[in-house]
Amino acid sequence: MDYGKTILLTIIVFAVGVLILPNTVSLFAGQHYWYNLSGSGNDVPCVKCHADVYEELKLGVHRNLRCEDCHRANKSITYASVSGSYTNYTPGKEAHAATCVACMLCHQINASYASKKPGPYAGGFNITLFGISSPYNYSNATFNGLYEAHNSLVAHAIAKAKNSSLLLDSTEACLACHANIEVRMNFNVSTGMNIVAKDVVLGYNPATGFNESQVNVTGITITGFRSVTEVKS
Amino acid sequence: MRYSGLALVLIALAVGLVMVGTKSVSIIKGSHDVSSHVNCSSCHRHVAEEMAITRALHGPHWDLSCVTCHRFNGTGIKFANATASSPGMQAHAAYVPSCLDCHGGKGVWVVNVSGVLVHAPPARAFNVTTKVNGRNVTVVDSIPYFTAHKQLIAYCIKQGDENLACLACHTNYSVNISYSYPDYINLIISSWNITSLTIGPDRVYNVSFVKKTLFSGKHVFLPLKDINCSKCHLNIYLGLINGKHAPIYYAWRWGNVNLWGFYRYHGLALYGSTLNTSWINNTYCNECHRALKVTLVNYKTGVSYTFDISKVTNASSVHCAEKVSCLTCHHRNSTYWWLDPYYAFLNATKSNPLYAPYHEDLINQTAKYPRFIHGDICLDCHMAAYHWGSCDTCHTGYNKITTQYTEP
Repeated sequence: MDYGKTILLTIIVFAVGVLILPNTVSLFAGQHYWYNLSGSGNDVPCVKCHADVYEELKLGVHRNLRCEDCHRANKSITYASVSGSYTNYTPGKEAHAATCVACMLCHQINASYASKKPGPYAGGFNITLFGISSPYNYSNATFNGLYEAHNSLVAHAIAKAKNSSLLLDSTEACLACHANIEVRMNFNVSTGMNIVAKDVVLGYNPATGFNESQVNVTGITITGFRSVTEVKS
Repeated sequence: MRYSGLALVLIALAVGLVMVGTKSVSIIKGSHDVSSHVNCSSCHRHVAEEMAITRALHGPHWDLSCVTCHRFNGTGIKFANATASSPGMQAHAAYVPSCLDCHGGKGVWVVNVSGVLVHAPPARAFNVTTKVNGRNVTVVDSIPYFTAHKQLIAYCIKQGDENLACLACHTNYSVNISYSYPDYINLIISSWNITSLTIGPDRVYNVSFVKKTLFSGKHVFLPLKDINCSKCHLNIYLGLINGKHAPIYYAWRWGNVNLWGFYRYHGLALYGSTLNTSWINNTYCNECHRALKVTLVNYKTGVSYTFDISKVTNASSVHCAEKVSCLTCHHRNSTYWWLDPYYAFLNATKSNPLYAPYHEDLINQTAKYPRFIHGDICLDCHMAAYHWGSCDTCHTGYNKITTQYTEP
């Protein structure tokens, strides 16, 4: 083996090592180094496993929030916690460390009773128009959302989420617009209409002095649907 | 060298995995990169592409943004606004506007993409709107009866989507229309009185105007000059060419000239050695259906006369067309009644003593019968569709029994 190949092999081994070594080491190193949760600021670092989420979080409007502001925000859930001394602890009931969260937990109207960190109300939606219910408050008499163009999207996201692996409640719909995620949408777009018109006789009209007639429209149907795929990237 | 290449690939792979691996494996990449600013066209690219066509055509709305229409602030609808820290009330991001939200009443001023105030003009005749929950809704009964297309918009309002009526004409939307109207009328005339008039069974004709572009057309707003009457009224267009809609047919004349020595046709442009169908366009339609003035030419002298007929028509107060019959202009109360040799009263309760008991009095009697056949009775002599050219066609004796096919 000449000198050049030796150098090359060294580089390859080094490169593979960069990829594998940290994981290999993590299997052993530190497994007896337990976090002390009793002190202030000594929480389990979510970023340890969710560095990607942390990186994303810092890019958006939630950049000043901590993980627990959302994922331990549900007032109806008792999360495991330690306060002051490790002997002063609360075991988790419905959840231990964190829960998945629906956007509307914090962004529903009157979120203060549901969230430890209520956000601004995302008003202007109405899901009852579609016969959909949710544990979160989308509208009331004042904030009725009757004219929102995306009500259908929100309502159907909720309906789908109930029996699938989609994110909770309307979160998929919220993210579609408000998050930097790729969304593939198939729109069924109409391209025309059929109109049925017929001459009819209305009868004598004293105001005009005529036996009036007109062309009545008796039917309009939207037609020519075609599929349009939109990809938001 | 071969090994060097392999090494570089492996190095790149290793570095790539280390540097970007965490992002790649996230369940929904970007789900925590949340923004309060949303770009409509990122999800509605096809709409943006249609609007680009509108801009190229310089059609209505060419200089407007999504927000101008879909977050229009003149309805009282409050949208979510991150800048103003206000939640949405009646809508969050956008609403589906009614065309008349802007084009009802006296119209509104909106800001275009250049930040300039531009006026959305009222949709004349259809702008008789009232506010319902802050939004303009057309009061159908207030639309003048003589406004063509009134029933179209009335039906759409009844169905809850009056925009459809607007889209049919003002956008590049395909339209298929099935019209049905009486095939013919049967007349029995005795001693200068119409003693019987019955209407034949319906015939149906279909018009299909299929857009030729890829796009649905709902957001391709056509310049007014590109709205073609024949798109929906192809049968009338063909009737004009073939002489079955109004008495314009070049090849047929009744003694060549009328009582004043004029040719008796409306389509002045049609005089000449050949019939030029390209002259039958919107302008030609408007000569009757949106007539504010008419020009008649004495072809013997070459002198033309232009008359303001706005007082006998309602052209200034209709949307795009007026529902007219021959008698709209040719009636006794017309300002220019002296142009009218028939001198009809347009009132079924009156007779026409001046010309009774001649053909002309029959015109007056048509007021008893449905408006849409008035023209047919006129055309019985003046164009008469399949019956023109001979008195014998109608007369089998002193009295008249005739079948008159209706005009398109």
